[in-house]
Amino acid sequence: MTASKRLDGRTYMIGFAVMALVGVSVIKGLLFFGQPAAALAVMATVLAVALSTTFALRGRLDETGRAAEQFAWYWGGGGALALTLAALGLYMAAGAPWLALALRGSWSPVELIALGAFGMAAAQVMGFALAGVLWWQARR
Amino acid sequence: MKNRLKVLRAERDWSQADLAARLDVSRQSVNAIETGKYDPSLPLAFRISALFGMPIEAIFEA
Repeated sequence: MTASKRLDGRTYMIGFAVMALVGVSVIKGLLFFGQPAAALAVMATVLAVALSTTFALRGRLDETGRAAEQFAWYWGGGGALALTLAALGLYMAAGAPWLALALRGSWSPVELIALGAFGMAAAQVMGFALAGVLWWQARR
Repeated sequence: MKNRLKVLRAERDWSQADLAARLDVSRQSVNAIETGKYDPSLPLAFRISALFGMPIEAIFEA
């Protein structure tokens, strides 16, 4: 009997989580060392790779893999977006402490806007990966 | 949802990978269904039913 051609949804989700973690870590490192342009370029690359990989592979997922993905986007992506917005609101209400320390290097207004947009997207990607892995862990 | 998938598979001496290939799903899906941690969709339940030549209610119970 030949093996199933369907993609293993669990490996797919764990691989996605590892890639997201590495990408976000590299970006945080570049931001820490005051390299905003490089960090934004890496963010754009990571998001492009993550989205293109997801769309390319999702057709090979079976119904369990798609159920995990649906759960992950709804609860992980949506939940991360809600939490990030809430955290941002609290941070701004507190007077945005340590902002100069967090934003090392010289940032143009366009780079700051891009950082905010990519930051939200990165949070959603991480939330997606975490929720997807948890979905599969609960069904081992 | 409880089911007899593991027993039926064992009777035919199929591995989870064998059953997964016959149903066009991943092995992890077969495992999740067998352990009752995932309820298959109606189309998949019909495929399982057709594969084993048994009515759905003889394989799955609420």
